[in-house]
Amino acid sequence: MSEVTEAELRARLAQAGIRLHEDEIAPVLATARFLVRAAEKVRAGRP
Amino acid sequence: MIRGSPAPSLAEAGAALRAGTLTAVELLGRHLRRIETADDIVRAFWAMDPRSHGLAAQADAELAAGIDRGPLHGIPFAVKDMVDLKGLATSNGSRLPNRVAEQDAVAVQRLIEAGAVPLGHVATYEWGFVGPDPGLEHPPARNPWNPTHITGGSSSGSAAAVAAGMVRLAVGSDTGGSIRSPSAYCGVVGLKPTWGRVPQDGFWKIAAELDHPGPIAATVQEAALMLDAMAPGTGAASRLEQGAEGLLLGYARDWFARDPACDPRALAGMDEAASALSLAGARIVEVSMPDYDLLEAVGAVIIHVEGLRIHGAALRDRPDLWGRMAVQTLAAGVVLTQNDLAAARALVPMLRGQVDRALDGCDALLCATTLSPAPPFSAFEKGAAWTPMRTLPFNVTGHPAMSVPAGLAGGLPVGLQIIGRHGDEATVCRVGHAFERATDHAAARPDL
Repeated sequence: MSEVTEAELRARLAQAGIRLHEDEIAPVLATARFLVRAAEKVRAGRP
Repeated sequence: MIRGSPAPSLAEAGAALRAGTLTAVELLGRHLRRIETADDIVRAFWAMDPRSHGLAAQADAELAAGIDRGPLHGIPFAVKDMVDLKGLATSNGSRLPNRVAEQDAVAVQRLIEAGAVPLGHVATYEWGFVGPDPGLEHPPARNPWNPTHITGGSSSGSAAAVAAGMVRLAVGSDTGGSIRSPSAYCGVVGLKPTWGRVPQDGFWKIAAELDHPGPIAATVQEAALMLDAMAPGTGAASRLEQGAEGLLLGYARDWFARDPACDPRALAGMDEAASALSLAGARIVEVSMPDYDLLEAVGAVIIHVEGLRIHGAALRDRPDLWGRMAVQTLAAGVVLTQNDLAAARALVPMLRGQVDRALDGCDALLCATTLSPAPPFSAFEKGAAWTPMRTLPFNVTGHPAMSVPAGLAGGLPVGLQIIGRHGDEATVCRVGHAFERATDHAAARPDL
């Protein structure tokens, strides 16, 4: 998952049973993308 | 100007208590008068501990009987509302059903055993995650230096109460900077000890491997004495008088100064701090630090995976009882996996070793705590906003780190961060105390 899409985020949220207001999707997507990049950096930094 | 004078220092109060010119009950009354008026502005206190008067009276009776428990005897302290106080509900800043604590947190028990008097619970961000969120039961604490600005968090009430002179001592906890960043924003001393130094029993856990209970205080000496009570045997106050002469301090300037988010006024404050320590007799060398982005990534992955593990069911079942900032922050963690968590954890020993190597040959490291002074509440009107800092790496690596006031930028405090070797809080406090003596920053107080 190099760049999480809005559809992927919505699917994960539904799977977790977490409901967001429609206007919250954009800020959560921004944070989710930061976290995906963080996870990629972690995997690349594996000792 | 508000009624009620600021809480006296431990030295001043302790001398008066032992000279018989002040009782612990009177000292408690002075604190309560200050809270009664200053808290209209600061909004730090959420609940008062009904035991405080009885414990203050007990402190007086003991002194009269020749029993002296030491420098905290009879001294009031505040407790972040994520930490158990026997008989009070621990709200964690949440509207979810809470419970009344049957026992004090172990660190609180130890403070009481040292003669200190718990005043009550002070503000925190919701479950320690994110804020300031105006949509919760308690409005966010306000920065005593300028109430239109945030305190930082999550130990927001602890730092604000100390800065406002309502207490000299407060218990906080730090998972990504939650002791140090509000201390920097509010112009007080925040000490995150070595991981594991202070027991977590009775503290709400965010991510146990990153959680560090610790003190927030008006001065380095007071923070050191408080830590020595919370974690006997630390010896944090054992070398305060040795000064900066002969110390070799690594200044991690590039580690924060090259960040585009670094406020030039904060950078100037750190450069002046390094110069002050140099003039006080320390030798300053610039040092290279590990990759900040990787340290931040490891911490962010751990916090978000653990946060969702702990809170996922409550987010799903009672969304109406959550603040929207916390919901949004936690919800983003759905894109991470247990494999991501395992990968992050696997990097921690390597990163700890890299910070150890940066410390190699140095007595301590210096850098900014936050890269700017406290932003205004207006910056958060549309939700959570990024507040750049250099705190999370030392939650990942577990090194002791302390923020000390380093002057004002635009009328708001900035903090110098001092990082030491694992288990060496004594040197961190020695450097901080020497810095306080070399400058007048510790004496600066907001004009409430």
